[in-house]
Amino acid sequence: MNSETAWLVVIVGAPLAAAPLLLMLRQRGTRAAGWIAGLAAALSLGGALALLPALERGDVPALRIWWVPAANIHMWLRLDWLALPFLVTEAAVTLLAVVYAWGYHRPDSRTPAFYALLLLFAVGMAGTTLAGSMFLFYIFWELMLVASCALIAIWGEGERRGAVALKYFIFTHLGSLMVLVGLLVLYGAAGDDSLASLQAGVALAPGLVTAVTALFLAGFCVKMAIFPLHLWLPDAHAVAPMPVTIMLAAAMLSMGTYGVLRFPLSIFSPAQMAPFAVPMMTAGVVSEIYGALMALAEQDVKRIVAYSSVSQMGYILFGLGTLTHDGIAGATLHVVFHAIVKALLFMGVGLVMRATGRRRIAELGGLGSAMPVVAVCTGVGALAIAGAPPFCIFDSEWMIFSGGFHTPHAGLSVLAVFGSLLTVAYALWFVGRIFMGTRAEGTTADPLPWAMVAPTVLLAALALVSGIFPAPAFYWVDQALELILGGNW
Amino acid sequence: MSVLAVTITGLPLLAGALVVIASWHARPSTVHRATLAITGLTASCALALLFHAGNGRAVTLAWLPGTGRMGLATGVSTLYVVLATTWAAFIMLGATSPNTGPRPLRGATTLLALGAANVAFLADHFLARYVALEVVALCVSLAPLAEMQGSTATHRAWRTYLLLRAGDAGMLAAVLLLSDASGTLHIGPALAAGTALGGTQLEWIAAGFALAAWVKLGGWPFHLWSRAGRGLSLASQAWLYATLVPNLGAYLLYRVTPLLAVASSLRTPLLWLGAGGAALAALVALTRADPRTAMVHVGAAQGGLALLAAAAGIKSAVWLGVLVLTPVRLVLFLATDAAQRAGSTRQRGLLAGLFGLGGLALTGFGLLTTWWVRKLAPGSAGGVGALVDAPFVAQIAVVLTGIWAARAAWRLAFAPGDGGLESSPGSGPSWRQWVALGLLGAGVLTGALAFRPLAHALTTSCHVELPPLPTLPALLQPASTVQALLLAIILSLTARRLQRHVRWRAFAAPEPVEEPHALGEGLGRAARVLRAAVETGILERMVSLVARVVTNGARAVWAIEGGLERFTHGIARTVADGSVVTYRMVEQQGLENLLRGVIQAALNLSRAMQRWHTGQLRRNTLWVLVALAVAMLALVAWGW
Repeated sequence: MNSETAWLVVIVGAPLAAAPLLLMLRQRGTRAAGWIAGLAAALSLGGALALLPALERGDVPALRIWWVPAANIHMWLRLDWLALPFLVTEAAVTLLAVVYAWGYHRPDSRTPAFYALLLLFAVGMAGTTLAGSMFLFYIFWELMLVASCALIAIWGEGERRGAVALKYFIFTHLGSLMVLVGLLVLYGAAGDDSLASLQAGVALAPGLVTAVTALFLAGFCVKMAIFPLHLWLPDAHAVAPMPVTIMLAAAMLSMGTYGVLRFPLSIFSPAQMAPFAVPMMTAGVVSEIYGALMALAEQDVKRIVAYSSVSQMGYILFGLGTLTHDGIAGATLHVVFHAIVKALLFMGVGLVMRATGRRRIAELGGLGSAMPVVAVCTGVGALAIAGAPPFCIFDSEWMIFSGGFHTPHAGLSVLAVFGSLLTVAYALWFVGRIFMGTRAEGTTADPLPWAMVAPTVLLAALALVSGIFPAPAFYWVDQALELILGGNW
Repeated sequence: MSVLAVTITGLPLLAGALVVIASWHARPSTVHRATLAITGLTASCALALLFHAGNGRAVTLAWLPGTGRMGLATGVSTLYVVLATTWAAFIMLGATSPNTGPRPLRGATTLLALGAANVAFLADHFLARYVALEVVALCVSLAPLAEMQGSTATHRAWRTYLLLRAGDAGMLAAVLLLSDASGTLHIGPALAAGTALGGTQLEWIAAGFALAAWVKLGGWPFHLWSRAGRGLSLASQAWLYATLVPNLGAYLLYRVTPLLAVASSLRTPLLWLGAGGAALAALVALTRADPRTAMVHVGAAQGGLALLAAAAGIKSAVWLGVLVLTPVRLVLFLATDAAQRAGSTRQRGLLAGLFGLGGLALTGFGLLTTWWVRKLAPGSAGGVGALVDAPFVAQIAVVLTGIWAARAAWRLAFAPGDGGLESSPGSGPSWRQWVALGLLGAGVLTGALAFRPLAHALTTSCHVELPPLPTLPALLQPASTVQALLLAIILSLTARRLQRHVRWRAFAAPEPVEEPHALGEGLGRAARVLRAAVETGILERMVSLVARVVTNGARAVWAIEGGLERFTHGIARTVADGSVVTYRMVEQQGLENLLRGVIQAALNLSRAMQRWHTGQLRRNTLWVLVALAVAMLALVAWGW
């Protein structure tokens, strides 16, 4: 095992080992649980970054173990340029969510189990991005669902958490089944479960290509929460404890994008994907506008940010649907930048909820003077999500829209550009309503733990810095695009 | 040159950022002095840069990969616009007392907006210009939050940013379409390639740019963002809202004029939009008693004239408009503010004179613009010889603006407390205001008297083609036509009726009491009686009918104006209510019920199946037998 393989194992292995350790510690580990989880998450992120030089050299770090030799099924972990942005995003979000949880989560006897499940959730996401074989991909895909569902069912807020967890499970599992059928068809055609062999080319009848692509798109769109497959999202985001919400919104939604990039867009040719361009762009625009309208209609601050995810995923799907270099690069960048901004917004909302004990926007107002740091950070998040330069999302939106105008469907692109005004409307209304104006009667602002404030400030700074210096992220994404649609741009 | 270019863009941005950081502790007067000093230094550097103009790209940098290197180009025509805007900021800040000067954040928004605006003017790359315009929009929107308290400030900031973003969305769409067609984001080559395009693509691009410019110029109905500046300090309203953003819009219009001119099917709608928007805005301005509110509409009228000139393809008119109107606007704002503080009739008279000078310049340039349009683009939107065409409607706007200026000047001199003018006489205007007004007034007067040589010198130095300049009689010739005379009579009567209805006394100069002591006087009286019998009795009745229509129209327009605000609220409410209804229908009832129904049906089916075959051996056996039979049948069918 060389150093590259060792780091690959660390990425998945550190949280995977920490989770049972935490479960075994039980009540004895209540105080140390957060630190153990933080260490595991930091190791996972460190491992991902440590492999960057290897990728720069042109290596593809991999670990391959036979699993069911008779059926050509492997346990195969590999990191390529396409997986890197998603992996780093997921690992960084996990680390920040764990740190945020130090302040958010009040320790009790179940605390080790909470952190253990958070880590398993992270393992699911890291494994999904690192999986080099179809069956491993699906196993990690489902682990992600099971862990997050358990977190919502056990630590969710309110009486409806069981029902919400069930709804979340049913919806996303239906999507997973569609993905599974697609995977099985591909496995049957390729006779091998490795993604590398799929990328090299797989012979399918044209009708089957259409069916498989449709299955993948529908299945992954459930995970991306594209209208009308988004119904699980507002409830799950609103009920889940804030660190879980952050991981769901900032990291897990991006797994749907990764799926679209890894399967239909990597396997099939531009000509095979062309019939899906307009449906994807249309669904993207509809989701963008619908999500923004719902955010304007909502009163619960957490659900407002949740609906903004539906809208933002619309931008991503629109970008992917353009099937152009700029569009797909923009969509991939949007995943990274959306993760930063969405985590920032949820953290800001969590701080407001923690300080005031309120979550209905009508009961909030004028908090800017009482919580200036939180107000500035959330304001940065709102401006960023509204696509205002020089914040990061502007860069990815520019690329997405640019991709849209490189297609013959300029009308859809114009609609997407003007639809973004609704994003401006809800984002500024949301921040203005909470932090500006007169203070709502009886509102008090309790002191906030540094563990919740520090990641928020860090993300606000990151939203600005990554917007001003986008070149590294662009470089990663540009390398990844060589793996998409045959790399012929 | 690079140092100067970096200074006029980077220095205000850096200083603005520092002011934001220091704003928690710094005293307002200190911030004001620092803002004034930085603005002065920037203005001086801009002046120095003029001597190095046109020496290629000053600074280049790469930002978003794949979009090319962005640079600052120091063309002479651009630098004149930068000079006008930057010196306007310096003069407005200089006219403000440090003690009543900007709150710290106000200083920051001014500096950041100045730096970003200079980037927007000088950028040779659409991406840089778009980003800079967005930063300006943000600073302009933040101004109400920096100066006001309460939910009104939030609402104004929200409305301003949203409307300015609507314009920027048009620009973004146009830029990306143009970049797709031309393969570059560099402004010069992209626009040059754009003029060679044709058909729908060109029209989309032109429409996007026109929308962006129209919003920034505060054209009707997008002037609502501009109205948000009414409650702000004089410096903020006069510079941020009434000078900076309109200048950015006018400069954008200047650059894209060649595109608008070749977008043939868009030309007529744009001509009418410009002329109609100008007339409407000028008419609404006449109905406003408060000069600072009226000036929002007058600004919109000037925006309409700029669009008219651009649609007619007269690039230099748009450019000269920026240089002419910037000091004129400042004179109007400063004179109004100073008149409110004036302690004596003499001071008020002097200030009214300055205001009148500004109004005259405004009207004169408006007449020149319409003259150019008529001369250089004959048959604009109406055909040659048509009774009503776009330039004619624009002339109505100019005349209405002139009437407004005259009325407002009269009120400044003789009725400062009338209408909405907030008179607060005290120690009089400060020496800073007098100095600023003196400089600006002298500048406007010089510009008016020596317009011809100045215009020649400016356009020659910028290699901009100057259209032929009319003689004064030629300029006033449209006023001697039958249409124009009729129009003048209608407008006078309209104003009188408005005055009666709205209780304005602007034109109510009392008639001098005359004693008929001579033949001449007697003849004069006889003539007046005859006129009263014939003209007032017959003609005026006819004309007053028209006047009533126009008056009621003006009131209706104002009602629309008020209604527009309610309409936007209504739209917002409808969108919000629609969203709520959709939310309830789809999220809470429709899809969720459907899902629940499906699950319920599945559960019922499961329970029925469970009841049917659980625990009963005979039924279970039967179930297995039936299942096997079905499987066999299926296999047989498949094999067959």
